[in-house]
Amino acid sequence: MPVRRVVVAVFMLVAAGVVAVLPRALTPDKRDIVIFIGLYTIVGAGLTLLMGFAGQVSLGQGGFFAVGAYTVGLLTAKGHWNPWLALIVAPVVAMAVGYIVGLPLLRLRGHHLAVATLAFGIIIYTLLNNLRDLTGGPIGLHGIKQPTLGGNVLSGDHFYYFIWIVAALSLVIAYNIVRSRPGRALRAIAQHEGAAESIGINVRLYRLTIFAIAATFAGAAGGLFASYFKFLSPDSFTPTLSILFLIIVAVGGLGNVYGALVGSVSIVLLTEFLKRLSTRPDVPARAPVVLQSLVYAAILILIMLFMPRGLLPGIQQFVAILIARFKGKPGADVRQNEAAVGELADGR
Amino acid sequence: MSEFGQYLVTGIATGASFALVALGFVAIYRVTHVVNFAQGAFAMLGGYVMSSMLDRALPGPLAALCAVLIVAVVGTLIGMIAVGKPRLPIIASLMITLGLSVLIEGICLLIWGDIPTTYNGIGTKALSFANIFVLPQQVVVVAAVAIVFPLFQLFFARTYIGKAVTACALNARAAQLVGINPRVMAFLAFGVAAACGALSGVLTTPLSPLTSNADINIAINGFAGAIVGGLISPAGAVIGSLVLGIAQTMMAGYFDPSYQLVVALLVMIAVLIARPNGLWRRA
Amino acid sequence: MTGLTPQPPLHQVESGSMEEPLLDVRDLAVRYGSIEALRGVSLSVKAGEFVAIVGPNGAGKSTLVNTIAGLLRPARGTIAFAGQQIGSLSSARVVQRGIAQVPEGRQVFSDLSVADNLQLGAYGRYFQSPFLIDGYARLLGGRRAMRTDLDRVYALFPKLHDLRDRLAGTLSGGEQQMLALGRALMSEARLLMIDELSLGLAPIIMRDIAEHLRVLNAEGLTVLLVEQNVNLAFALARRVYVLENGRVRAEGTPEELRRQPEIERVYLGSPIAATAMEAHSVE
Repeated sequence: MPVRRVVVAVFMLVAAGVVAVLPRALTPDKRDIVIFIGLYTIVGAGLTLLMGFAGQVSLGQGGFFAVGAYTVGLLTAKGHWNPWLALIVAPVVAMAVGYIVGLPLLRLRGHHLAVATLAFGIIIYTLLNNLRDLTGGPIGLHGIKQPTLGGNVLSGDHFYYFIWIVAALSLVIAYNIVRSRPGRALRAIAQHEGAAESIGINVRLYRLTIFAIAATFAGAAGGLFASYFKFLSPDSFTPTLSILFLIIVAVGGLGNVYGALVGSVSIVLLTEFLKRLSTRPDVPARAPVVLQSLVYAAILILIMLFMPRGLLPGIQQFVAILIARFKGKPGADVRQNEAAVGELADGR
Repeated sequence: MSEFGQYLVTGIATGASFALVALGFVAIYRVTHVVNFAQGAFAMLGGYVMSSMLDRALPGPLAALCAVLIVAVVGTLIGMIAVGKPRLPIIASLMITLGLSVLIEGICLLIWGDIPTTYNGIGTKALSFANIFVLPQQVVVVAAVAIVFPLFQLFFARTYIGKAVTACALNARAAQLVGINPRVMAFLAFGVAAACGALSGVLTTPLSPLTSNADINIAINGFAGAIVGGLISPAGAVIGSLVLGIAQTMMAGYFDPSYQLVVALLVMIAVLIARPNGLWRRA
Repeated sequence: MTGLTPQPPLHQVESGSMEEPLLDVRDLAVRYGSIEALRGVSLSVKAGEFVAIVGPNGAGKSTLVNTIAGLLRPARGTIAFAGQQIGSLSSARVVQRGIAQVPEGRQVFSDLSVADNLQLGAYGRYFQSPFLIDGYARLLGGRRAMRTDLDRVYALFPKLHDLRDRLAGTLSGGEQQMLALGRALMSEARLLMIDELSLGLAPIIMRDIAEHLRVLNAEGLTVLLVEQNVNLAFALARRVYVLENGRVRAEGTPEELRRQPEIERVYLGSPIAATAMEAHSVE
């Protein structure tokens, strides 16, 4: 156990060090990439809670991200609010929307919930495009103000640090939610709803709350997104964004808070790599989009087929099996019949 | 009043195109309990393949047949990937179909580009009765549903293999015990669903040009229609689709066309929540 | 009349398999995750025998039957049927080899008619490959055989003939049990496995069905009965295995077992408790 703690601590320290040093080494457009990693980590931390620990699938996190972003955008550009206040209000609004939307939606399970949340994301996207008077429609929303600190506008590298502090905080918060009593209740729900109910856990309230918390995380990230880029247009919030969030969590590993970080780093870097690869002059113009979607799709399919619990747990398991083999303990076959039970249950 | 009649007729044609996609959702869901996100991609692929066939100067009906068959084969392959692996959780299958739809989108973009694709249907001159205009192609779409729906029902209720698929949907475990391989039945269902979807794409592309991201809208509309039948009733799916088509056309006509999809989504969510097993109970 | 097989099983049985048993299970272990449901079970059933497996709830009886049927994978041990290893075969293949199962709780295809249920019982005989076309060819060629088999089942259970157009889900428990039995017989099985014959049946109906089983066995069908009702099992079977905690606790003729006070205490002592647990497990 202590070894594990040390590993995690070292990992976090190294990560923090890398994040701290990076701006000195990066041009602004490369800094944006690291910003995206930070933002997606925040969304991913929330989504991991929802998917990994509460066993719910959401394809609507892009919608909550948009709610947070447009909250900051509208409040600062049109309402002339203090940007700090707007940044605090954004996650609160997203949480409220999460509760309101979740109240009816969470009566659904599994794939029905997935489809319904996808629908939520698409509705938000449609509204952003059509409520022109409010959102500026497809043209977008300009004039978003950035917060000031000690008289200076927080932008560029400073904003970069700010985002990563929030990202680190959200990981810590998510981790603590998992470790808390309610967190353990959540895991019980994910494993067996009926059993959880029978020991006195209010399943509905927990599910709803965790849904709203995931929305809060997405809303906070959206607010930061608006504040950093100072411009919003609906194209940043297509349903594909929700799918991207899902892929990040799936890659990072469900049920592991740090998986969100691993997932965002690997997916964002991969995306950038593909973009660079495909925007070389000798490559046709539409190649970037194509390549990106093909690779996303392939990753999602392969992970779901061969590591349904995600990349990080998949690797952990693989290493565990290797170690077991090395020590001569044939303990790897145990998984097999667990699933067989599920198959039988499906048949009912 | 003629305005209303016009919307009604157009709505039925729109709904009919949803119905074919919805039947595909039903075919797959009954057997696998997987919501096939790639269902819209089948329709899109059908339209694109059809356009390529026509470019090769194939006569229309033959081109349509080829398109439907090719997509049915693709659909079966997709089924093999999505539900072929033993003991795969349903939610993983769902994600895989999602991934596959993105994959198909990418491939379509690669092959057919991002310029909207269309071709001529049968006749571009609108027919008119009592000031209500109908395109011949719209009549074809409605006729297709009128033919495909009974065939679909007959297949699952009257043919031996169709009954085996139904048996598998009713009780997969008991089906296994009489020697039915649920996975093979699932592949068959994917094939049937892909054929239905492809037919929808083939017939509606002349009415609304295809783009490489058309599949999400198609899938959402079809799913919203299918959910009325709880995803298991073909009749419910057809009725749901027609009602949805009419509602959307009315919405577009009397209010604002940009909220058409939102109507579909809200209908879908409302039905899901109010009656998760569908409004149309009888399978 | 010798069962439902065109080539009477008695012939196959008597030539060459007097020595080796029809079903031979050796040291079978099955795990659900970390729980070991079977911990090295060995048993054998000779052709033409009527063998019962009894034991308290959770002893692993159903696990044993489901593993033989190919629904679960053994973690260790072998299952041989007619001299061939079947431990790694899929359920569909096991059915094709000649093992049929009447599952616990009957599990008829509720939305299909009685006749459809029976005909699907023969599925494994016709559709033996994942490519459905060859199955259809065999089905067309074997129409008359199907008819004959159906008539034999109707002769055995005249009531099913009267009910042949009713949906299976609308039948009473006893009728469903007859149907499940008839469906299993349609597969021309050499070994019939029955999981909880008496579950939820009124005593009169239970006796009636038990009588049918006795007749079928007398005609040469090998029967392996899993039964919680020990009195019924002892009345029907010539040999009984007592399963407890995933192991064979005792084995012998009913008379031999009745003489063991321990068995008497555990399995015949408190029928009420057993019934209560049974009811719980059905949920």
